[in-house]
Amino acid sequence: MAKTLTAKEKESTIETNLYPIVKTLKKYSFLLMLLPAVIIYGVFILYPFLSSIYVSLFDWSGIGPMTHFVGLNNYIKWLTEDPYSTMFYRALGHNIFILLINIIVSVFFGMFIAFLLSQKIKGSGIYKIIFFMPHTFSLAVVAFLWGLLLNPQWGVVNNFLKTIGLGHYALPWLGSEHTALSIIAVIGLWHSMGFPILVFLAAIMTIPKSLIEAAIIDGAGIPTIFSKIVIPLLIPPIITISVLTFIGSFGTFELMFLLEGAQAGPYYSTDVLGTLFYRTAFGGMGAEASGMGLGASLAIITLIIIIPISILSIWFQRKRNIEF
Amino acid sequence: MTQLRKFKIKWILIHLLLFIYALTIIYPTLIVIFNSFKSNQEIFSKPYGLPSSFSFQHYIQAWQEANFSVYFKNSILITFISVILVLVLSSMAAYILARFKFRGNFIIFFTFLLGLMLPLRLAIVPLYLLLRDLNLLDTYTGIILVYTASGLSFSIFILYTFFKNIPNELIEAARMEGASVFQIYYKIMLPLVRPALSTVAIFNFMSIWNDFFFPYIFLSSEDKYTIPVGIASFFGEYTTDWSLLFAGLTISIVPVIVLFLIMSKQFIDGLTAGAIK
Repeated sequence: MAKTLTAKEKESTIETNLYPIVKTLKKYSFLLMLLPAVIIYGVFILYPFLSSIYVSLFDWSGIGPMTHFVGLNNYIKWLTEDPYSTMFYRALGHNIFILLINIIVSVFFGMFIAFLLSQKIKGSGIYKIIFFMPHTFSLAVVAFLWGLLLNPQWGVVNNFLKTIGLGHYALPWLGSEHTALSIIAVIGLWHSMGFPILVFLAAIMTIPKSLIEAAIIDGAGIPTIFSKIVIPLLIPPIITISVLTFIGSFGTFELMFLLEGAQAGPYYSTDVLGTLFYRTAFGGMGAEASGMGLGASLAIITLIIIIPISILSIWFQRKRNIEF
Repeated sequence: MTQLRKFKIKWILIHLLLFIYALTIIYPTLIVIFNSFKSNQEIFSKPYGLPSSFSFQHYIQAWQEANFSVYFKNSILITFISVILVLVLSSMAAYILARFKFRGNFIIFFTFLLGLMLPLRLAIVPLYLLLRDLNLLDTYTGIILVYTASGLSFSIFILYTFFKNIPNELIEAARMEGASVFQIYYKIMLPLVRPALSTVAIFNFMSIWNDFFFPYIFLSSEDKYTIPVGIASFFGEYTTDWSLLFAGLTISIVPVIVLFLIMSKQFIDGLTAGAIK
């Protein structure tokens, strides 16, 4: 049964039909302020990561159409097929080596220096600034700075060793496959140490003084105070630093690349996942290793290593937030 | 008496340890600066210690011949535009996400947070192809967009908490007076989160200014190089001209050191934000 409407009635229906839409649009117009960030983030962050997964399933040099679908073959190559697996596990081992040195030194040395700084000493503010300063340098600058100072011919470090009578330790530090990776780890720590020191210092400062004073009255020495009071209260920053060090150690690239080249010499002794990834995707590794697909799969493998640790840390932080 | 001596020994020991560690940072930095004034011969014979005379010749050479003036200009241009874009986009987004309820709010916020644990360099292959297809390789626009995108996660994460903590009454009062969403953001919210904005600005400034990876991949013509990439090409070109290399290094670290010394508190706060609460 058709209902006939007068013109006026029609108009009002249209109005009442349209009104909610206009109202909704107006109500949600604030989303326009969110939009630019979402678009930029979507295009330049989310899309590349999702696309990485897709590209990693192809055997593709980066030129021409991407047609040769190989499934998980690139992953299998890295994990099981020589020479890829040799390169992969060697690089992974080097990353783990860097990680261990970094975590041990960042946590223990960082806590130690922070503890010294927390004692009311004159000039602690100046020390803080000095310790943090290298953190503000570009890694490229740090690499070349130490590259010059470690120059085997006239480098300041070897010259110094000769002066103090340790001439036989004057080695081509960065040119020897036995020392290069360790030296690079130390250079990396020289650059980054200020960060854990300040994080630990901030945590130590929150420890109630009365607690330590009570311990001193009870006759506890510095070692006891350190192990019984300070360290337990420092568990949260220890985890924060460990997680950040973990992510940093698996992302390490610049120092190896700039000091030892894309081939991460000598004899691949400083090759890490970052340099291997760069070589695969951009450097070219000869005809057999074809670029972009293989590189993307290595990137995804690295992500699979990093992400669980990050998730754990976020979970931990949330838990901590609830506790406080 | 013995207690006083023990006390003194403790302070001396602490200072000694801190001083030695400080020396491992100060001394290499000073050597670089000192050697930039020396001739190659003097560097070879007396690599540490003060130079016998101060000549600025290597600086002039590095600045003009080795294009450091160009690298500086590019670094300033790219860093400043990117930081401003990050500040504008992230503060608007964080404001909306923190203060408005709508469907998808949490998912969007969570997706932004996800970026905190995804190192963007691992997606460099598709990112490179994307910029290539958009004709943005070797352009300022391309690298600025990438930096803007990569700064969003951290910045939104920091600003979100600040916007959340602003009392509701302020906004209600402004709304009663007929202020629009944007006016509330611009006139009321932004001034209130200024400390967080400076944290975010410094954090992004340092990570963009010092970044080597993205300009190395994306910028191919030397007249677009930033300082970190410029110094790499400079070291490749003048491999054995040590005094020039030291001058180049000095040119690239001294501005950062000066800026850091002037604003050390803001720098330390900005760069350790997120880890310290």
